[in-house]
Amino acid sequence: MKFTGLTAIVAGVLTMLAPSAALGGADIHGFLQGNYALRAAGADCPPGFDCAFMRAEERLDLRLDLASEDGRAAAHARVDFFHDALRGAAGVDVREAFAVVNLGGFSARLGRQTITWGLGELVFINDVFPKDWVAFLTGAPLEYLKLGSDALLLGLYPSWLSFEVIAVPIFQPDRVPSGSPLFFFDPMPALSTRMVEKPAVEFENAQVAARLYRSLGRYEAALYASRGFYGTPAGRPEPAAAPSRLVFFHPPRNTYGASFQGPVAWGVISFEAGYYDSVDDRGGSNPMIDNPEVRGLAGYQIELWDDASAGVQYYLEVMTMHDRYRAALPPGMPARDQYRHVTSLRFRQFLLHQTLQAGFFVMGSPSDEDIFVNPSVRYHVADELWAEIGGNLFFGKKAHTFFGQFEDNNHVYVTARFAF
Amino acid sequence: MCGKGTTVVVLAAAVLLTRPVPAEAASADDIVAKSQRAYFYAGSDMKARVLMTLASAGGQKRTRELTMLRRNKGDAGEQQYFMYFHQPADVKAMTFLVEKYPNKDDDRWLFIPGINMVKRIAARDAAQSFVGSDFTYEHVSGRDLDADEHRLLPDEKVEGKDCHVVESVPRSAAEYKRKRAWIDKSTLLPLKEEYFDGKGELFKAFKADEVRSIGGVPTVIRRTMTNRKTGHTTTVSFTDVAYDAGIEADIFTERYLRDPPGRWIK
Repeated sequence: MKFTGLTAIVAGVLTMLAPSAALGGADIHGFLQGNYALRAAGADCPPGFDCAFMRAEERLDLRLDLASEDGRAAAHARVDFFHDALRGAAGVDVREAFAVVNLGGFSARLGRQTITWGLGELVFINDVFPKDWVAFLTGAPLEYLKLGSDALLLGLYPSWLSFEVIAVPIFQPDRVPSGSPLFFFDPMPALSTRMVEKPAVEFENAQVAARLYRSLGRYEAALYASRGFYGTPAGRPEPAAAPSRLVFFHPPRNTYGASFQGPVAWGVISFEAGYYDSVDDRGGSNPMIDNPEVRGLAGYQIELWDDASAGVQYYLEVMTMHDRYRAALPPGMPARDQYRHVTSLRFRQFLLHQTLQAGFFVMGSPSDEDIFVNPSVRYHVADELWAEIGGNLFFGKKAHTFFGQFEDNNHVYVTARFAF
Repeated sequence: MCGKGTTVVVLAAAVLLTRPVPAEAASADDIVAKSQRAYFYAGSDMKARVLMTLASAGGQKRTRELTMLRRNKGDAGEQQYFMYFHQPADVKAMTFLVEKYPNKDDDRWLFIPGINMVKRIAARDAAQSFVGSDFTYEHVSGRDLDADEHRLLPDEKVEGKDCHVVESVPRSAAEYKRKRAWIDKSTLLPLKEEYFDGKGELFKAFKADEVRSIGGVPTVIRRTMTNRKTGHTTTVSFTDVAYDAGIEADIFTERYLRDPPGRWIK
């Protein structure tokens, strides 16, 4: 359960307001969900590891919306009550809780909120906001890949431009695999003592991100910049002379980027690029910290025929100081390639008046020689109820590559959701 | 020689006589153009709560409920649509923005609230089903006047109302091969439409079930589209209709997709 002071206040205010506003612009809805993932056979699980099931979870999601009469002020809370059968635990997950004010060309939103920027399909360049990779890798619905940020968002919207700036006072890292039920590549298995070091809660450690965007005819252009930390931690063996433990830490990072999107021929083309300024390793000679990187993607999506769409994407990561990284890399550690290429294809077909949805997503890296495949079928039994079955399958030649390391986590998932 | 010349003249005369005379062709186009203005473009803007009921031949029902905001942009036929979904619960708070251009593909954006993401959607086919219903995007926002060749047939009455009857044949591949529309002479609203496929069979039928004057603007407030081949029907009811409501231009932007304008979507 993650519950900082800020969201506690917002959630408290919402709870107090709810009964009094019940006759006005108040609205409660949500869903009940069962979500299970069964590991594909073949994994060699150690004792105490959740082997057969990777996810066995029931969730009640409650959403409360309040709005003032004139529509200028609103509040939204989304709280999940869950039972996790794997861990034998139940808990509360405040996914969102924020208040919004809209005044003419200005808006402010304060509280826990999900923020999604950029144009990538399952790759994030200028979206520097927290991700839950564990949820994604264990068969949760895709929306659980995004975590809320406890933030203040200010928006300025003169007619010719839109400008948004987000301040996140307390850094929130990505949720990354750290053990059962996920197998992942561990470069230093001997260092079994693990510690996590978060950036100190200080004014100068506040994360700030800004986005400036506008449309140019039928095209849309955006510029992005951020100051913050790598969401995925780096590992530092300590003490340096004779390491006995591994400390995970989040090196500082600034990002600068741009995106462009618009219609071309029969489809929509997207471009996004970014530069990652790795503040503590600008010289590139610290192998524990990411090199400064250039990242870019190009995508094209098209409607093929009735209710069928397809999208292709090419994504590239370039380490800008690869020579120095190689020179400083300790012997025996697997080296990253300077260029990481990732291509993906998505196909989706709706059938039976859009009540049946068949999807196929494949993402692979020719340079890493690994691949991720996600077939899925979702059927809306009724307006209120849908059920989905799908698989998340990983294949790779090497144990340390992005998708390849997850080979033993291949699974079939089932989700059923009753919405109200 | 002489006989041949006469044949040519007679043939030319026959061709001239059997071809629709220009005046009549213009008036069929004129009627369709006026009908489109009355049906899709009334007012400078419009707001409505839209309830769609999809029913299969087996009796299974699905509901889609949304608030639709529409704004005409200039005189060239460009329009903007903002839709906020109230139902089904699973897509509640989802918003959808369409920029409609005459003679060009629409631009469409979908906002998915669960991940707070705005996604631009490739839209090639205007004959695509709208949210799984029997209505297509064209039925919601109109079809280009020049996309079909229109021809006037003899007038007929529909439920006692005098109607123009217009037959439209697409100039290039479309959902239908031929369409017949009964257009009320007094309101210029379509009261009935029939869509025929390549085999000449009726496969879809539209009916304006109820027309009411909203602030002086005749409005089809209930309509049904029936798929005659599958028996699937979609009924659409409009409530809370208002024209010239003063919907601001900036409502039709990403800002309000992400943060729906409470004042308009209640």
